[in-house]
Amino acid sequence: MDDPIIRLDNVEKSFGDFRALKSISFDIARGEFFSLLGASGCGKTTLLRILAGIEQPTRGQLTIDGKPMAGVPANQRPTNMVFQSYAIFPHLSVRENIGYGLVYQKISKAEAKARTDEAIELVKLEGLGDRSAHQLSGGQRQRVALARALVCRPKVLLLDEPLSALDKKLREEMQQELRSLQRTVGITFVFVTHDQEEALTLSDRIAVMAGGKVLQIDTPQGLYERPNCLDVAEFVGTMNLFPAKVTGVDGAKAVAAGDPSGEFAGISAGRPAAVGDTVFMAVRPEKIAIRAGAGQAGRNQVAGRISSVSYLGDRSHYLVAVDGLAAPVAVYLSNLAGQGMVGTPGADVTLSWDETSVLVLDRA
Amino acid sequence: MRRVDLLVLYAVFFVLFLYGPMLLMPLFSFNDANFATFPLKGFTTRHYTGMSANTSMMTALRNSLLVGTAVSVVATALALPAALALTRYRVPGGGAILSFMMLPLVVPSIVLAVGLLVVVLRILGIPLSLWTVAAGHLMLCIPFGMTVLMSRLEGFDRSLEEASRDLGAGGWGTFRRVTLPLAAPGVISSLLLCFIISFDEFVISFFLTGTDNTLPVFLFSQLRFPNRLPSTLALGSLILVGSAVLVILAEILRKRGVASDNPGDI
Repeated sequence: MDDPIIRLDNVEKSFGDFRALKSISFDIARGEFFSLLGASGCGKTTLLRILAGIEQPTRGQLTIDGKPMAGVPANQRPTNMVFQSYAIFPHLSVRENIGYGLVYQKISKAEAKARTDEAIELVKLEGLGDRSAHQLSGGQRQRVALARALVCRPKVLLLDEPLSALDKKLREEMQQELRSLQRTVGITFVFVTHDQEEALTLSDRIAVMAGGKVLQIDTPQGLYERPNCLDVAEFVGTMNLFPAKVTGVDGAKAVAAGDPSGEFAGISAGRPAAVGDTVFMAVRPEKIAIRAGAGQAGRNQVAGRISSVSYLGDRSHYLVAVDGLAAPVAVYLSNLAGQGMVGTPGADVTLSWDETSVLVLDRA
Repeated sequence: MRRVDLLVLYAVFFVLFLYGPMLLMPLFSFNDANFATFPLKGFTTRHYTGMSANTSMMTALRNSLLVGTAVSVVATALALPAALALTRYRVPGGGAILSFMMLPLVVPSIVLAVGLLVVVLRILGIPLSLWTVAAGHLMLCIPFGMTVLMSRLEGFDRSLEEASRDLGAGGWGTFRRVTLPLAAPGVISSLLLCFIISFDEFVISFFLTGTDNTLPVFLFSQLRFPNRLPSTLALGSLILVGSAVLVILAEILRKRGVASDNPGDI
């Protein structure tokens, strides 16, 4: 990547014996909405705090805007952060909170006031400037935290699960606002979340993290369509997994014998499979076609019995029990015009899918 | 029902036992007699009005106020950085340091006083004065100040200080603009608490004072003269009221501080 805003080179972080981050290396492009996605304890917040300068890496190089950040304290970095708790100063008013960082910028009082007004307007808090932090709702506190960081005009805005404390409706609203805000101000956002849907909705690119490592960095579509390992496949969306043993390989394409039954053909997402490998053949629930009646098991086709049906309005979720598989196969069908339900629980069905929809994933 | 009644009775006796003797003091201070005995003779305020004429009492009062104020300010100023260091950073041997600082809380003050006396007179060779009293009080007050301040500093969100740093403030700026204002209720209750401790302290003052008496030492010396007892009682009553007001004030401030940090999740 040419001239990235952030470059991480073998960054490691240990707390005593615990290795929170293990050799992290990647770039973030200017103006990108970049998400760090992972379950709690995966190291994503630690990584964000290293970017902010609140934590120092144990090893490795961090470069922001072309300058090495070793020994540069948080208050001298071109980054600002929106904390998970928002960290609104309780003894200051909304206006004082937002203007907090402007004292340290070399600008006149008049300009500081103008920029504070502008920031208040940007996050739609007009008229609330004199309120104290106690008198704000959760969404308003979040806006104050956002304005307080943006008013300093950072090169990178760091967001630590800023929406997790909000209820669902407000969260969706704020997602839209965050996304359009990012387009308006045009600065790089690094967004930490454990909510895969949120990451997919907002991001240009996502880094999926687990156990202190980055598993995959890709666009939302790339992550969903071509997960490079089992962990990513299971973390992002729902994935049906069929254990199998590879019997034939042709480039990226692999054919595998199902365990216990059936034959699968699919595409290797990561390194090509070798004959004899035990793998998982992975299919997304919405790529599966469902047909009433017990058909013959064949290539990319299995027979089963519906164990439950959930009607969700725009779509229906079927769980289909297949002999020899521990977990039922999930099938999502859109409820298009003129389409009835396929069956009720207990009905025999046949599932089939295209081989381009099947990913060959390592068992590891 | 019966059990509840017994509990109420128990509680009433408990409180009477604790505070009864103390309440006799204001009672006798208004009694028109030179001896603190029943039956009461009649109501008078002469023990109070006569106090300002008692110059040695007034000097002792002035000394106590002086020492108390100085000690509370210095003890709080010393306890605040220590409390910050122990709550904010991983100090090597922090646990041991804290235990040593808290030691004066558990060592009997008579032991402390004798030890200090030996150190001050024999080892350092400093003549006894209000300064030595203040130094002794300081030792006693710092652990109290530490306790109050540490609980206050532990009580607020660490990310507030991180946010301040992130927004461009340095260490001093963060302390001045975030830490200190948020710790203010703790600082004030530490000041009040240290003042009361110093003001009420007898044993260390008794050992370490020179010719200048503090109020408790003065009071003790007056007990040898039975006819001066009522004015002593009057003074004691005033101190009782004053201390109570200060303690209640400190507690209110502490509570209000805690409440304002939890605006309630919405």
